[in-house]
Amino acid sequence: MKGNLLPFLLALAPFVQGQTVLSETITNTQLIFEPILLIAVSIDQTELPTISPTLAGNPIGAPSHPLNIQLQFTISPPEEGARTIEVQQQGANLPLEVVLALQQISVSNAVVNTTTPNLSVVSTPNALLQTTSGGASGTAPGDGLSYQAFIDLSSAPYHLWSSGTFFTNLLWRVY
Amino acid sequence: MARILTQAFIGFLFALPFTVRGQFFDVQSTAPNTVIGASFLSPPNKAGANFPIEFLLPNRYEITIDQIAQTEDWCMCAAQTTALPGTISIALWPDVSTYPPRNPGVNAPVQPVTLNSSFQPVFSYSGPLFQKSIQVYLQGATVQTAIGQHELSIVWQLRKGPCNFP
Repeated sequence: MKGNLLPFLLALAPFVQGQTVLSETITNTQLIFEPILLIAVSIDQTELPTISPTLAGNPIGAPSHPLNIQLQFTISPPEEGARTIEVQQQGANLPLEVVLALQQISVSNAVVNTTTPNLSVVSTPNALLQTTSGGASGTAPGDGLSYQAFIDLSSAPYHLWSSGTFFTNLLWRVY
Repeated sequence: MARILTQAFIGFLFALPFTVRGQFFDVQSTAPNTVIGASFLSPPNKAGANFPIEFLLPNRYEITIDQIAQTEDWCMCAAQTTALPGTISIALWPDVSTYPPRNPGVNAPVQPVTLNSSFQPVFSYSGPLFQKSIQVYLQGATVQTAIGQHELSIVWQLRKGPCNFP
């Protein structure tokens, strides 16, 4: 009995929907999401003067004014493994004794899986963020990862220094 | 098995008189692929930005209906038969710039209609129509979920009588 109802239910379908179907067609298109890998770094325009010794025999002090760095990102999830943001020095004329270090202050977005709170910026890449899920940090001034840059003079043999103005370029990369 | 097939065939015969095949009904996408990248972020191409909750895609659907009486009211409905990742969905809204212009609540929904597996009214008119443009919106996409390549399959139905837009 139940099986006999099937044809009648099918026959009634147009009336149940309320309108007669005149014609029908199908379209098939492809929706392609391109991987997005964007990073932006903003750095305060601040000089980092060293502290001159005021007493004979005292060493030169490290810069007391930290340099604020804000890193924002939009990163698509990886197909496999993890996405990485890394930083390295490039084209610097810093004396070898001067070490530039980054210290993480805050992370405003929870999409990152791993961050490196403290790292030295050297001529080879160092990873400061890894994510397996991707995400977007936001674009407001406080969004993203906040770092402070320091010059580490603690292990420098000061007698080898020469005075002058030094520069360094930081290369930030995401892949 | 044979009995079920027979019953299904009888059902098809019952349904046949109500599915008239005389009309010419064609829907074409203006592009076979829609590529979505950083230019769709808000703001575009800016690190830290995410996709807006809803945004317009560059491709459109163009509908053509012919071999139908000038006074014949009809309603075009659409249903999506493939799933998209996460909370991503597709919405349709008739283009305001192509004839006849979109008139929300009269010949079109009051806002873009989000597709699902059930047929929903998209556009209503009387008589033949040539290449009426339907805009396509992407909703609910985030950088974390908008990945890969997905087939978007839409079934379009032309129904007798005007649409009833909620």
